[in-house]
Amino acid sequence: MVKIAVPTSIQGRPQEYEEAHVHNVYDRIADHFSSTRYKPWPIVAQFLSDIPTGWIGLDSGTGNGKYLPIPTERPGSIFTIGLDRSHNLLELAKCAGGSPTRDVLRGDVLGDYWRLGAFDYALSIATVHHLASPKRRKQAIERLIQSVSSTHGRILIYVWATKQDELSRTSFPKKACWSNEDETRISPAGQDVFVPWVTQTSTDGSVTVEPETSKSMYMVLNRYYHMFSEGELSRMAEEAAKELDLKIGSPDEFSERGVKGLHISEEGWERSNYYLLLTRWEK
Amino acid sequence: MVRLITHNLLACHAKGCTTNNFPLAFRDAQVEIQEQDINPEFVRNMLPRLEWKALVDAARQVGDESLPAEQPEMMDDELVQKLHRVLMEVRNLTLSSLLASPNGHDYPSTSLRTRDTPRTNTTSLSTPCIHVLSMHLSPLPHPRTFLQIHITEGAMICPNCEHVYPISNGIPNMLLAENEIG
Ligand SMILES: [Zn+2]
Repeated sequence: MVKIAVPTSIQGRPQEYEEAHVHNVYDRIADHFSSTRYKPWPIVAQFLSDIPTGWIGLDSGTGNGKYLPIPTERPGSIFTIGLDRSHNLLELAKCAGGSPTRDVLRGDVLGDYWRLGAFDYALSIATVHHLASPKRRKQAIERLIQSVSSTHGRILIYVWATKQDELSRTSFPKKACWSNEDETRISPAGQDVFVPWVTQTSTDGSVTVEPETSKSMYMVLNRYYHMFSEGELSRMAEEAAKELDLKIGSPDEFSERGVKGLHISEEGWERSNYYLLLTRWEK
Repeated sequence: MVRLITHNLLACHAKGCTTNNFPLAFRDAQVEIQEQDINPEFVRNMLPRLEWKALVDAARQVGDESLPAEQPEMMDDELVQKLHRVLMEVRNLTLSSLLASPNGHDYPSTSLRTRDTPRTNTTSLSTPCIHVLSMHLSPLPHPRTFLQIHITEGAMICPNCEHVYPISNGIPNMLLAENEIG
């Protein structure tokens, strides 16, 4: 199975672009998408395993809710609420991990539905890269920061990277190649792409997806992604922190009482994705 | 599904709605109980994150009167049990209108339904995650903790701007129209 990314550029208003090329696509491919997305990313599983018992968290852009039951070795020790725009994915997320059911809400990752700082942790996995403008991606990060406790909130953000794993299933057309050897061609602002999902509607009305076929009987659904360049995500998190009047750095670097800040505790790359671990603090 | 723990975190941020926007009030709430193993450490550690009064009021709105109006200073085992039930399980009720009993003391007639769910976490995604058993019980068979109570249908209303957030098939819809986004 080869995933293909085709460079694209945003036309029209980002909200409508996302509606057409993200939300509608996920609603249509929910079942098949879900069957291909059951393995947790190791970094995400580790993040959740490290969360202390009794903490409450938000999975913003939960998709099929595969992170909601984690950590499975400590069932019921933490409580993660799933938020997504796709109704069909939420129906799956509700049942993630079997019974009892998970708490999920339909909403936008840019929406504000919570008491300020209501959560102890928030995760945004493979979600921010679906927002179709830099401003909206930054706002999504601001929302995550605002949703967690100002004294100890932890945030994990995970987005698709221009730097692709050699073993990854993603291939790029020659014309717009930005392989590892060719990093000089990567714009510091990342790259907007379409990842086509080829679907076939069977007689019972359900949609199946056959990514490698290109026969005319199949319909192509183009999913929009913004591929992040190296450092782009952390720069954006710093801008988001500034918007919220938070100092950037570790709490040890500041002594003034009452100061609030955001610490980038970890920044990394895992299997074609960049991730960022953020911690809020207050003196 | 949505439990009272989630409800306790929700606030309305529709355009111009900045004060008195918490807690959202339930209307026409239908509730189900799902059994869940108790994790006392989770309940004890989680509790400081919740607004006690909002929790007690919400529990009463969905038919559970087991929690004391004032938060007890000591978290004994009995309270942990009650909280677990209110937060994690719920025996069902269909409240025709909560507006008729704003203080939550006068319960309308209720029809009860219990969800009989396996107690393990191993059910695969391909099987329906819930098996619903219908049974009629007298109202409020026994108190349930807020982790067991799941609100399945109805709506949540902002006490300030009266925005209605519908709940359907266990999923609250928090989406706002573009002109309602603050
Ligand atoms: Zn409101």
